[in-house]
Amino acid sequence: MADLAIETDALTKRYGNEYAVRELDLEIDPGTVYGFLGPNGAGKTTTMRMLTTLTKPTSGSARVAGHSIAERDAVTPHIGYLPEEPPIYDELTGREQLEYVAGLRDLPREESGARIERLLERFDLTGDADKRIEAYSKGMRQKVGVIQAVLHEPAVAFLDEPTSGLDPRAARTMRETIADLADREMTIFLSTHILPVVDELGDRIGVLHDGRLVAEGTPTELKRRAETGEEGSLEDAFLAVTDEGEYAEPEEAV
Amino acid sequence: MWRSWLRGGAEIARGEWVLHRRERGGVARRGLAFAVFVVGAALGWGAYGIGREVAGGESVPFGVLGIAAAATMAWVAWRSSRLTRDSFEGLNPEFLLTTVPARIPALGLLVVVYARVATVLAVPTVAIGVGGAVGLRTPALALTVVLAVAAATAAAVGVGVSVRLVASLAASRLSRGRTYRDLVVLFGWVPLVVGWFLLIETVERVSIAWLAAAPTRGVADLALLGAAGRTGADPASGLAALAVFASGAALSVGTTTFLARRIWEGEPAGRAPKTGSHPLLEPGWVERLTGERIPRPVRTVARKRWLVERRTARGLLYAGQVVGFSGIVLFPAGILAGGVPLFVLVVHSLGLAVGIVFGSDPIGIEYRGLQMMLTTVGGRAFVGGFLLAALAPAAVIVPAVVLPLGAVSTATAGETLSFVLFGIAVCGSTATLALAVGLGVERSAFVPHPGFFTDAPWYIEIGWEQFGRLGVVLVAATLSALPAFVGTHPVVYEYLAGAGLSVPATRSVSLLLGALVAVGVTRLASEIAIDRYEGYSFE
Repeated sequence: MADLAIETDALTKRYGNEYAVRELDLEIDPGTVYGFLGPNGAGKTTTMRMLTTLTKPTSGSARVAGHSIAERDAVTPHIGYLPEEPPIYDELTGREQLEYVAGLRDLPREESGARIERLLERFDLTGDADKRIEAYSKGMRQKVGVIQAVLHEPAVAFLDEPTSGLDPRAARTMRETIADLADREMTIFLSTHILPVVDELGDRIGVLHDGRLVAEGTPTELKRRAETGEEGSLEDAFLAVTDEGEYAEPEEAV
Repeated sequence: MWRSWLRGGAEIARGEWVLHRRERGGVARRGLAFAVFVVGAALGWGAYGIGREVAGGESVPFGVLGIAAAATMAWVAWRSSRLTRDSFEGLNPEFLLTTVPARIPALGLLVVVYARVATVLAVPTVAIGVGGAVGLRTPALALTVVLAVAAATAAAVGVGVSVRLVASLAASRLSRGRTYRDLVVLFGWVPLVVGWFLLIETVERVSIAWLAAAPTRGVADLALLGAAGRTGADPASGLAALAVFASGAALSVGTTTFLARRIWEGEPAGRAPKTGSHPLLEPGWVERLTGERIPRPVRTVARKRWLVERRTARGLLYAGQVVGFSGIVLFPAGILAGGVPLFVLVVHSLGLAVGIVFGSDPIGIEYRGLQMMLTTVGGRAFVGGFLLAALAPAAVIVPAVVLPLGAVSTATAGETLSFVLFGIAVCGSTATLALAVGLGVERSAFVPHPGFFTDAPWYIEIGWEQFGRLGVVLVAATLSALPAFVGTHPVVYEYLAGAGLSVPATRSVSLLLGALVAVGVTRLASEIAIDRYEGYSFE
């Protein structure tokens, strides 16, 4: 069990009488790209916030990188988080923002400096790195957000819509980066509405609907389960499993 | 056509009004309503008294009424300008301009600003009208008072909205327009206040003579038109004022539409993006002084806090509230207590101010990066960083003020040093108290608001609760310094001198005792702040 990157046990979040997430059970191995799908309001962001210690669960438990999410100080060194709106400061330049995060995480100066330059170069941000973030486009902000989330090479990276606002070239760079990170045994918990990204990168996919995990498996398994056939698209499978909204039990696709 | 414009404008105004109501808490609205009713009742009672006196043969104080009218119109214009700033930047031009003609949102802006000002003025106006009418036993007076205030308010709102839009237009068209405008808004009052004090007699004489005469006299004439025969109001002057106000209001609709369209539809000046990175990873003077004794995350938090403060001066604005607290509460209390030395109060205020600048409003200041902060650094580094951000400047500013004054005064070197330590300790306790209190505020309490020296919005808390919390911080920090106030009081040190204790020793020890208590408060408040940071959650 200690080998799992993410492990949740009946994780539940309730606001009043409304369930945002209901008895979520996940087991994700290290190095997995886990595509976390679901319609708007399904509970994806709440799940990510619980797993990143930002929101306290109502009941149930979870461990990330072997640490209970009740212990923020133990979990945070091992995770990186890109929320839907990148948490960056408009008053800083892109380079300052990244150096700031490196300083907060106490990364070795020379190593982190070189890593920042490499990632800026990779995301085509070197020319704009010394401009204040207030002048950045949505895509540039997204790139800075992603770089800061993986700068310290965490064991688990939670990425909420990482390709949002990116042009096709940048989106491809992002996909390649995610694939590279996964190759280096980083677990990527990837929430997105862009299903081809998950289809291409996802080792496993979980579909959340009304706070419940209604399907889980590899992309191929999901397509098979939704009776769309292996040739069908993930979109067809997603629509099929979320249309079936009355799943009483979360179950494996196969 | 006019009907559809008005309907569209009213619809936009209604939307803005609903947003405003939702942003304002119910407590704040009820508090304002209570204050308005109290002021209205007092003014109504005053108007009744004046009405009775005039009915008894006294003459109407036109000069006073003119000055009151001018002051009210000036307030309305200023308030409208502020409300325009909030509402205009909140409007969504991309949506509105692709949906309706520009004149409709412009009209909506005027309507919502007028409505918000009128909400405050309505009850006092009616109270004055009814009070005066009852006192004079002339019912028509109530109507003309309401008419005069409504018309004057419309004109003043037009002026306030137009001035703000002209400033916004200049800020968007000039490459450094925004910086200049923000400098004027923030510090423009300084030359005015200095000028006022330097030329106070001339200013008073000229302004009072001008205000007591036309054109503000016209407002009084219009308001008293309903009882012209008994008050000596000049109907011609009153009607002329009405015509001027009506024309001004109509003109302001045209001006607002023109300016809003220019701002929305025109291209902003090609402003070069601000560039140049400050090396946050390189060792700085803090490292040179302390080596690696302070953990790097703590230094990083502090360094970023200084950098952001240097670029937007947000914390510096909070220092203004310390000036208010010291001027209204601390110094008068010191005088009432029978002569707490001015120097102690000054050093204490200095500590409060620096502590407030760097310790206040941590959630608002970190708002955009809060999710990153919480998942990156622990509470000790966060709170330690803010504390370092406050203490380092205090360690420079407090000696810079105290040492020269100590050198020219009769204070001993020991006393001077005690003053320095006291000021720095007060800064620490204030900063951590502000942090502990500030970290108790939920993220949902903050809304985006136009800031200074940046195009990015500031996230600020709406309502009066923030001022209540600031008051708690300042009072708590002041109470924690009580030993210093007591021991430096002449009654105390002279009494102890009678018992054989030297005066400088008594004063020094009491200052050090005050510093010691402040350090204790700093530790306690830091622990609370750390707990709150580590337990902070996004619900």
